[in-house]
Amino acid sequence: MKNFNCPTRFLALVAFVIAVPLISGPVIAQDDGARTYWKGRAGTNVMSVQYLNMNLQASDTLQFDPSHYIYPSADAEADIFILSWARHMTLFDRPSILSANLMGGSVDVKFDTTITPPEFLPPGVVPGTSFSQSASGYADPSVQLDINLFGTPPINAIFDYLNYEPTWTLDAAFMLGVPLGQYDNDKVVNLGLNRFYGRIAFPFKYHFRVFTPGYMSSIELVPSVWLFAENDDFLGQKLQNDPMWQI
Amino acid sequence: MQRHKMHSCSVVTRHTFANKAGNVVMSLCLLIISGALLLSTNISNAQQRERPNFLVIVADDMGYSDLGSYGGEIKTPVLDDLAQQGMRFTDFYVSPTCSVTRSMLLSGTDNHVAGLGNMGELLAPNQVGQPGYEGVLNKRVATVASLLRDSGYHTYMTGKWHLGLQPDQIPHARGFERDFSLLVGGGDHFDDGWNVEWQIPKGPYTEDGRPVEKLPKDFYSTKNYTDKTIQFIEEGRGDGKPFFAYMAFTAPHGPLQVPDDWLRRYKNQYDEGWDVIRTRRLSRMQELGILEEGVSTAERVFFLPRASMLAPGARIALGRKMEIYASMVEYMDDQIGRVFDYLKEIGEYDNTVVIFFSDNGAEGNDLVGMIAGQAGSMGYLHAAANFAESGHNYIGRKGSFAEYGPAWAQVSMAPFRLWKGFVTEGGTRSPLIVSGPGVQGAGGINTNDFLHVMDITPTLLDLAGVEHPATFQGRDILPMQGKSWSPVLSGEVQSTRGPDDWLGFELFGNRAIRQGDWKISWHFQPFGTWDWQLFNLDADPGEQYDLSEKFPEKRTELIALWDEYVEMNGVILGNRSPYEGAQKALPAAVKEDDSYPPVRGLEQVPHKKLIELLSQ
Repeated sequence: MKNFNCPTRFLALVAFVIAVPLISGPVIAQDDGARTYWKGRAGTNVMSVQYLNMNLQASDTLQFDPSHYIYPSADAEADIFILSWARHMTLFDRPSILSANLMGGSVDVKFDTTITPPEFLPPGVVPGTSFSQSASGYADPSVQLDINLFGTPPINAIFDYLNYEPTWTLDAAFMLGVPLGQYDNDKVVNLGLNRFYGRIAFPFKYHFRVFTPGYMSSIELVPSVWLFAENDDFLGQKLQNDPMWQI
Repeated sequence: MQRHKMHSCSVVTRHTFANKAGNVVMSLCLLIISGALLLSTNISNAQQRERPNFLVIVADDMGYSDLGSYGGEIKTPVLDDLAQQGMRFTDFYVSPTCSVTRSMLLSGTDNHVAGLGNMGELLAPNQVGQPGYEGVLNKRVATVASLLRDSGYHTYMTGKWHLGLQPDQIPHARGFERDFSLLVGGGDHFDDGWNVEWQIPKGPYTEDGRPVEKLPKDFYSTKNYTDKTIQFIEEGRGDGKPFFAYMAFTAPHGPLQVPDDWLRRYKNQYDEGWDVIRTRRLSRMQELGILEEGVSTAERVFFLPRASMLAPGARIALGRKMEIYASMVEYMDDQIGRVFDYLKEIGEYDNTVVIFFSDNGAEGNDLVGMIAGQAGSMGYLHAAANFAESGHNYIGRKGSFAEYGPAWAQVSMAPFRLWKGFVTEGGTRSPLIVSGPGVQGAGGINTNDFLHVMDITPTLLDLAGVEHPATFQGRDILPMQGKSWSPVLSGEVQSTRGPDDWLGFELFGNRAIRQGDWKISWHFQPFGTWDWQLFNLDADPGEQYDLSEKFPEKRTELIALWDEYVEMNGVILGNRSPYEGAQKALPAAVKEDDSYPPVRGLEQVPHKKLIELLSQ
């Protein structure tokens, strides 16, 4: 058995500490929305403008989930802006947040249908032809109302905020998407959905460590259900979705 | 006991050489002698038991009016009960800072002869190397622990020492059989153990004279000092000797820190600000009889704003510091209760004289600023690195360094002026509770006497029946200057000191003499006038009215006593002082403006009236 002396252990520790950030990337929470259940002082308005440029290219069909198909040589490019506004307020003496999102931009999608198995082609796409579609304009705007159920006192003034040290909080959030965005009924690629959709969520946060910058840590769970109305004009057909459960 | 063993040994030796015929006689003699020795031992043990135990408890930087029994709103039920069982004193004096007070507590004499003419950390150039200015408790004095130990007491110490770091200066070398001590003046209360001074970055602890390598992970100063005190008493009580236990808590000295589950016990209770809280305290002090009605009380110091002028958020942020301070005091009270419970459990509480006081006025200075220095210095970098956390929700925890500042210190020291470091009443007056066997007048408040911390050694020696010797361990030692409180505690007299007795004070160049109700004091500007001021403490405990012009003879008389004090104790006024630049360093006076903050559509209430209304 090999014995490691103290300097060796120390060097190994240093190497580990150096290696971890080099091989790690930032961890980004997936599909957690704008997390507009975090509390601020009532009356605070928050606006954000984001711009995203995405250029996605697929070179193979490998995927983690066999039920998904990746179109070989597919090329998707998108220029998207997201405009968000949130207002912190008190509703029924509970801290609440009303927020709205507006997205827009342009999307271009191209892929070669000659090497795509027919069963994976989108509706209306003829095998053996090249597929290229684009869309531009606004997506469907959405509004959300989040109201705290337990764990957070009303935060009406700066001294409420100074006294605020959360442990756990439970909210209810209701989101509604309105079909006002760009939609072309003979295209697969659209920015709007041509149907109402919404989400009912119960964001739960548990805070531990000290509620102060540099120390704040939280575990957050957002169990939710997405509900979709019917799109009665999807390439001449009706599109229906069952409620989608999500955590 | 040692003597008895030697006698037995000599008898056995003689027995060995006795002839057979003489054996019978010798056996009879042995029986008689053994019986006599047994009787003598029993008498000796009985006498030992008659001697009381002593438990001296010292808080660190705690204010005069913090305890419930002195008018404070902080919950201190254990010490309040102690006050009901014993006596409270209103005019008890300590030194303006900690190590200086401790030198007088343990030696019974003035700090200028005991080695702490100035704090070791702040010696002026012309004081270095001078007798009485060693910066440690010198060998010209014998500690009360040494004298009690030699007379058959167990001697224990836990907590802050601050009287020397060298092997011959630490508690174990100065009379304490057992100790768990922080040798320096303060530091992190948790296991980090950071010290404010970068030269000694981690607070050195000793246990039974040996360095403590590592503090336990769950260390919190007040709790561990209590644990150790109980442990020492428990482990030593088998032989029936009385004990002298010195509990020198480091609470509520900065950094203000308390275990997490105690952090929010006073949440939002200080949001109203210092003026309202102080007014309430003064009112309760009058109700209790700690403070006479109609006397002057100190005004808010010129550079401190009215709390009502601050935004509510600012008041909450500043109030949180006082919340943590209050929690520290209550936690200490709770732990003292653990010691009392233990003493009751082993049947020693009723035979224990308990003395509780604080080592100096509440801390209103910027300790980190004073010790760590300016940005860019090593001290500053050390403090910034190890006490870096200062977030509103973080302060009070490990790694933070919060102090509550001068405005709250003035509340803690109500009704007096200024705080730690000054020879005003706010720097030198401490609550004092004495309880135990022979203490008469349970629940009473003595407002007649004026006492001093250097009286404690003579009092303990008196109660233990121990003479203060002229020599100790082959060297001459100085006589005590303090006076025993025994006659007051037994109810024979109302005052330890007569109208002609006086007390002297000097630290950092600030100086004072008190005789009867009269006091002269000299402070650096802007806290004083760079000249002697005369106050009558009976009517003016807040030291607001300089009577120098009205009573010039009295002033001259007291200045003569000051000269006598200097001569008697070899006082050397430092050629540098931490307060010499205060005039320039302090902020300008805050404008007192009754029209601020503005009140729209309502009648503006003058500030004093507003505070009266809010404090009801």
